[in-house]
Amino acid sequence: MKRFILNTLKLAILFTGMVYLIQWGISYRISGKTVTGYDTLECTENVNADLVLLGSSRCWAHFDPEFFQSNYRVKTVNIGMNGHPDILASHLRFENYLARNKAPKYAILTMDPFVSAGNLKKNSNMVNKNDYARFAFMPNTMDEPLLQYFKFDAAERYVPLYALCKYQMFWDCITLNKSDSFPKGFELNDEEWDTLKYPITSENKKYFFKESDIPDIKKALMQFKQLCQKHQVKLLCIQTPTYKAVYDSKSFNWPGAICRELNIPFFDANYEAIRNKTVYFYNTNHLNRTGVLEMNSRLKNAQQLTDFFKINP
Amino acid sequence: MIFNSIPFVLFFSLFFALYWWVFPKNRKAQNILLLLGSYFFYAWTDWKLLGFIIAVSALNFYLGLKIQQATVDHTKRWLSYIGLTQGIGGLLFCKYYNFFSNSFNELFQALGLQILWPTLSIIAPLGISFFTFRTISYILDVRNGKTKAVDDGVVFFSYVAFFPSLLSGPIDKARTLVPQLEKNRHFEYASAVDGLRQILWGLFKKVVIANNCALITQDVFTHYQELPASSLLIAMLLYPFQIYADFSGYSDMAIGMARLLGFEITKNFDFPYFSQNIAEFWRKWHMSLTSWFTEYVFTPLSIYFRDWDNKGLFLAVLINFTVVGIWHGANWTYILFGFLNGLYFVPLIIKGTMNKKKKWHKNGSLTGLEFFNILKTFGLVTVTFVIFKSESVTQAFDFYRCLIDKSLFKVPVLHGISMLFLLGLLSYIAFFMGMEWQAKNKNHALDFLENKMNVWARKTLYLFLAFVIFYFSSMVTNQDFIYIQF
Repeated sequence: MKRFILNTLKLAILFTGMVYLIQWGISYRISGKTVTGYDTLECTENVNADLVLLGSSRCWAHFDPEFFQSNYRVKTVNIGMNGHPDILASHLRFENYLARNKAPKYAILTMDPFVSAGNLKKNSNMVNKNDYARFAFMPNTMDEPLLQYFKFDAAERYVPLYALCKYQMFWDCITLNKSDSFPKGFELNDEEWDTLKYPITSENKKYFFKESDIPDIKKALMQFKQLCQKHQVKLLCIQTPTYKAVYDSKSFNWPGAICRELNIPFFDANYEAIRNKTVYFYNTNHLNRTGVLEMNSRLKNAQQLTDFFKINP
Repeated sequence: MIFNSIPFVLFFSLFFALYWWVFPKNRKAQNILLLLGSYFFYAWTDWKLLGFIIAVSALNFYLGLKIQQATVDHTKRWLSYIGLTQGIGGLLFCKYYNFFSNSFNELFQALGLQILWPTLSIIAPLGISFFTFRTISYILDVRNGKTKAVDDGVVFFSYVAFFPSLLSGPIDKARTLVPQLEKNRHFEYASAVDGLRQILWGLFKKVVIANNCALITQDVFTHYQELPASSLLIAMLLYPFQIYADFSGYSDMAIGMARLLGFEITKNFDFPYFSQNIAEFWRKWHMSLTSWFTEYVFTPLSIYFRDWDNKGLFLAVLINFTVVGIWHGANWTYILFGFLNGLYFVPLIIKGTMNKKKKWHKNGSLTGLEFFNILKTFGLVTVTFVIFKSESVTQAFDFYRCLIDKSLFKVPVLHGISMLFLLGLLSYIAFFMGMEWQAKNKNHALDFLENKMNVWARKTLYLFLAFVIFYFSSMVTNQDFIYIQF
């Protein structure tokens, strides 16, 4: 019996050691790199940007850091989170950024009818959770809040390789074949709108926040503002274009009103000339390359932005 | 609580420690622990029906003693009828009542009769088909004097609820398991190590082969009408590996666990896909069920019909396999599956080769004809499993219809499955079958390694298996064991 237990334990220890070793090897390989392009926590460390762009995919796919860099002479990083329009996600992501970098001078947050407040305890938005699986094992304190947001469980945190296998990131981490997905630092969609794949529809209006959600949104935004104030970051909220099918003036006026009430500068970049043309879009909610360039050409001349960055071109 | 789950691993580790460390030389205490562990295991899955299994055990325990005490044959017969009525009646009621009720209603409707047989919301106790067959075989064996009635309640109740094989077999007869419960058990290193190996191999089959095959087969069988025939062909070819790996994987784990506790329970599979005809296949597939049916259904029937020569034998086989089909569940697909398997025996009965047992050549090689026969049997089984897998007979025939199509030569479409994944899965299946082929004269696939590999090569293989099990159990959503539903 003793021999059986000892030999079984030996094999179990050998196996555990092997798994630990593989986990360690993978952690070493991906350290400081992005695996899918979305997992930017580590590769935005020590960037020490002047401007941080925050928000959902409507930030991640719309803001070219290079544009701000060349036009306003501010070193820029885009840390928008695909699929996460809640202010809480941006808040946690920004806190993570601040823990890894010097505080920026400016922060731009996308603000539109798609935003929500978010709730850490009741969060059910797990979009792109797999991209954060690489941070789950034995997490550091900086990443802990985001891991709580994505609800990584004990097994995912303490069993080596478990999270990587569960979220099917194991081979991506080894091959790193997707790590250069977004070489420009944001998601630039080259395609024209395939209206068969993504039909022109007003369906996405169902995701607009309702009037009853406004108190929570205000609270979340206020907390975000306080975070910025604490680190002396100048905050600006921007509303970017959507296609006209999902546009309605009432809903798109709310974000500005909320910001004004909280005394946060707000800029509406949902230009009518852009939102009326399919050629600028990839789908109803996201601009393609042409759209981004068009929006940028307009932003370039926007006095409010110039004032925000306090430069005199 | 399924075997490949964290709660079970914790439960079994604690149980194992108590069993061998706290009560190492106390058989009674070990049996009580076994009984309590079995009830805990059952209650974890379905505590509401724990009373049912206790009541069934109590009734059959009492009947067994009374049958043995009875001096008149007439009394013995009636007492055994009570046991059989409870066993078969309980099974029919819990598993088949609604099926028969619906079938009668459809028949009445077809005949234009306005009779509506009521259906009931019945919850069939988990593992009912397995523990009922244990009690039936016990009652029949006591009545026929093949085994003595058990006078120790703990032993009998433990026999009925023996947790390693409670939910999906193997179906042990009382004369196999009860004597082991009645004698002292000692920890044997070699047996325990081999038990662990068998568990490892069972896990590999379930987690790596069955769960991954299920990703493809489930989707294809659900959307078969929208997919090219080439996809259907892939799913049809994968399903036999899935069901075999799933069920024999469970059996391997059950046998391995029993060995860790000092029991040798009935072997359930003997590398059936290397069979050269359908009779051999059934002698090697779900052996505990086949042997049960052979003893209690086929043999009495073939004696009853013996004056009819081959026709009688054929009738006995056909009835036997139809009942085997029905045992699987309340669906015409299972009945047809059993009936067809019975039909496949016709050429063997005519040629007189039904009971002919093939032996492997000493060097393990195969002749061309033997290889062809293996492929032929596998092909027959594969095609018939489509009926087993389908939701209805209509769906099965529709699947066959869709299969015979020009799109058979198109590139297969498998939703969410990359070609790389498919190739990976095929290579795992090739490894799986290769290992089984090497071990075809042994108890399980890792049994042959002792003589063929040195200790480090063996350990490397175990680590590799453990790693792929870990990898896929983390990655692929665990599927329920197919046979738990039966």
